[in-house]
Amino acid sequence: MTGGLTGAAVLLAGCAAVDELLSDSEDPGVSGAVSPTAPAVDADSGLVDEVVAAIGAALALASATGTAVAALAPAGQQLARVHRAHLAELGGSVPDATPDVPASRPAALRGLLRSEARLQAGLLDAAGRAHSGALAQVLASMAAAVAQQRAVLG
Amino acid sequence: MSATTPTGDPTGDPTVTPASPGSSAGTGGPDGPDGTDRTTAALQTTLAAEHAAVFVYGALGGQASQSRQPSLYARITRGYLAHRDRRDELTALLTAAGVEPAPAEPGYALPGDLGSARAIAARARGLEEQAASTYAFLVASSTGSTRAWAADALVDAAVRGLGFGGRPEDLPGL
Repeated sequence: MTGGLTGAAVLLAGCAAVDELLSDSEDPGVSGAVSPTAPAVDADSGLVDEVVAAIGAALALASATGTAVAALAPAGQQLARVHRAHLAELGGSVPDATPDVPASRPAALRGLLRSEARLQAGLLDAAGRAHSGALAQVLASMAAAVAQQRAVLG
Repeated sequence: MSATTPTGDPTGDPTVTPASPGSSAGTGGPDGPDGTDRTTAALQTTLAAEHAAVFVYGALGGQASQSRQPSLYARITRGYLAHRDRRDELTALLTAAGVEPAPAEPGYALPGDLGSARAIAARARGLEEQAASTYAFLVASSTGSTRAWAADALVDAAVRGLGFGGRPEDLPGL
């Protein structure tokens, strides 16, 4: 998770979704994603920090699971790839953490599925709390991406 | 991420177009004095898309064979029922807000070749991709319970599309 002294403003400066919000901020067209009366980007900076941390935690577990349990390597790698893409979208960085993973495949898979379900719920919740419609749209789409991965995982 | 709007109607029918903003009903949204115009317009756009989806799914169900393609038929049926429910919920949302819901068109264009399971599945997959895009638009255009509902619908459409051969995406609907 980025944060600390760098702060959310710096984080948001690299956020593609927020860049789009800013670049289109005068366009009240049909997109619905951008409003001339949209709140300042800073209104969502804490929320973005929170989401970046949640994605980072899921990424760490997916990566660790893929490494620790050979049978789950493809799934772990695929999930990690999606989470990295989402972190990049939000301007977040890849965490260094390496969480413990159960050695048995069933237990590791259960942990992975729980983690992904938690992330999906968190993304939906964050989408609901976002002041920016554009950010809400991105967060809801990320939740849908996680749901697709969960469906593939079974 | 670039697209934030519905990328087209689910049928290819040019008669399905985003609705004009309706009256200022109390549906809530991020724009205007109380955010209602934008949300109402987005709800109408989404309803128009669901009218088309229900029609096309019905046609797909008529093309799929329950006996020879039971799995496809079941998935088409589930898709039809899901979109019918969404259409009815959208209608209720607009009605409750005092807005006249957009009516269905008399008919919608269908592709000529629906003679194979692959073609039917491809059409259904396209419908779900369009639905995901439309609900992403509604998410951006609403707040509160309407946004939460739209986000759930986006997730549903993204997952349902996998059942018709869709591939997971990094940002479904965008």
